[in-house]
Amino acid sequence: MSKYILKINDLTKSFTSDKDKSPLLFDSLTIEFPAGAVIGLMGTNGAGKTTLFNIISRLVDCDKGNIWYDNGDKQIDLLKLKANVLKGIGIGRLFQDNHIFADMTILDNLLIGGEDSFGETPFITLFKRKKHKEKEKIRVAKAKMILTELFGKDNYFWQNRNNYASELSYGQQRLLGIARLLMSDHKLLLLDEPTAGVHPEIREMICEVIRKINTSKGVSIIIIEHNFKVIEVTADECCFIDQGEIAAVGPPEDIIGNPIVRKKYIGI
Amino acid sequence: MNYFFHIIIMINIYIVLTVSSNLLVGMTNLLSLGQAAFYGIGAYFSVLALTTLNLPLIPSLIVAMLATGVFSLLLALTSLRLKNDYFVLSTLGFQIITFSVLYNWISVTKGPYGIPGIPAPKLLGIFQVSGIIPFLIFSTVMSLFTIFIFYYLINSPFGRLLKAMREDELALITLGKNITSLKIQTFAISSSFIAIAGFLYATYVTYIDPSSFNLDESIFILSALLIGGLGNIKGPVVGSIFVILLPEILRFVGLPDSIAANMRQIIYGLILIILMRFKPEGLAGNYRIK
Ligand SMILES: Nc1ncnc2c1ncn2[C@@H]1O[C@H](COP(=O)(O)OP(=O)(O)OP(=O)(O)O)[C@@H](O)[C@H]1O
Ligand SMILES: [Mg+2]
Repeated sequence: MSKYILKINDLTKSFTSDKDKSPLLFDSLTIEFPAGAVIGLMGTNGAGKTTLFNIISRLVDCDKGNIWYDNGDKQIDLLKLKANVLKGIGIGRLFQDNHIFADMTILDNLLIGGEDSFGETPFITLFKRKKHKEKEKIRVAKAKMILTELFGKDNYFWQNRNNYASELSYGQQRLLGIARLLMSDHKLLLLDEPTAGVHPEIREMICEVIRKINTSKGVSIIIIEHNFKVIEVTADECCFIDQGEIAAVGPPEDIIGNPIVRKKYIGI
Repeated sequence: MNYFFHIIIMINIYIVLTVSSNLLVGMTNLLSLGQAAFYGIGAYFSVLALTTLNLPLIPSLIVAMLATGVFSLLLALTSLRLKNDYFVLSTLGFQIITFSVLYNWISVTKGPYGIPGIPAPKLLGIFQVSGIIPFLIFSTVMSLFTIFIFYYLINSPFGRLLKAMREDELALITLGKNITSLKIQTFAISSSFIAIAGFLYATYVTYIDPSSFNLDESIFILSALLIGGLGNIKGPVVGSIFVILLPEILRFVGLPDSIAANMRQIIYGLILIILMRFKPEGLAGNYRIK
């Protein structure tokens, strides 16, 4: 068996306490995500894709099962951890509904995603002013670099970095969310519909970015997508969730050609 | 002239109260009804340090700040799991309990009789801070100090986290930040600076009793904050000046004494209602209450 980044064992989840009456969202879901790959996760609306991400990122508890994460050095049982330590072990998350800080500036949104949290406690802020200012400068430089890498030299985001993020369009907020993720290095990225609601041109660019993060830095990526094209371009492997189970796994072409998938998505 | 100085001293005390409270209420959106409790704890510990421990000014101030900070952790640890309205209610509980301890633990606090004759604090073993001019200077220094510290905090990476937490805790958690620890830090800093106001008040008036630190006072502090506005330094400063000056101005309007006090309450109420209707972010604030 090749190395995995995430191994989900026997995961069971329902949303009500009365397990007899309500159908389980996941019933003994078992799946292994290979390390270093881009994996597409497909499924109809309400199939439980976002919930699966929520369970992995420890924002939602599951009823049973375990999730092993292998960050290269050791295997970690994710369900034993708190949500806020996941970033520290290399797991990053892009939400389906943006979750950027609208009342903060574009730049602040990026800086908050920085690798180094030096200066984020009051005493350091007050007593190590010089050092934390230096660190802040490094963060700003990194933000500038990422924006340039993503959107070119005189890009909109950097030029308007002191504007409030609420002034950005939905698609732009999406991009800001991706840029914020890139502010620190990850081993595993969970991207929940990164291209939903964005312009086709930008969609292509996002696909490129996803490929690039994966190939240049070896980051494993799980990407939830409804768009066949995006899956085709980005994913090495793809799995289709239906009624709480993995209905199909395989290379994107196979999944997209799979009769069950075609029926669910296109109705033919 | 002394009257004028007195007003400035009171404004300084309220600036300390509101600027510190703003970190908790404004930046973090934790609406606390227990601010006067911290004010009172700060004042009583100041007196304890000055009289029983016989300490000079700076050590007494530090004792008061630390003690109040520790008490704030009591509230923080019990209430931070609670959401919104439940949090507000738990701070109300804290306020009521604190008041009732101050009021009834007569052997220590002298209860409703209060503690008179609080000595003038000694600065560097030489100066006695007593009399109106030294207090004017002392309180101005302390309020400027508070403003400086909080201005710096709000505009630091720490302040950035607070703003983010106010908006979206979920996103902040996935960015690897510890929300509980952030809130506890906010509680501790905010309340230990409120202790400075307690120190100023106790040593200026030279007499304290629990009635200065009751629920009404908490609400008064909050209304000063809401009138001025949340989320920056300007708001609380403007609010403090406003609530201290307003009754003085009304005094000159020449309301008959018999109704002056009631009229003042009514005018406060009206101003709050009008502001919240037409300018919910206050006179100079960044945020509205969520
Ligand atoms: N907090 C919750 N309480 C109750 N039910 C929930 C909750 N969150 C999700 N669900 C239910 O779980 C199911 C899966 O939701 P989820 O958001 O994971 O779907 P999804 O696959 O991401 O769909 P989409 O493609 O529309 O984003 C839905 O039927 C939803 O109603
Ligand atoms: Mg979803």
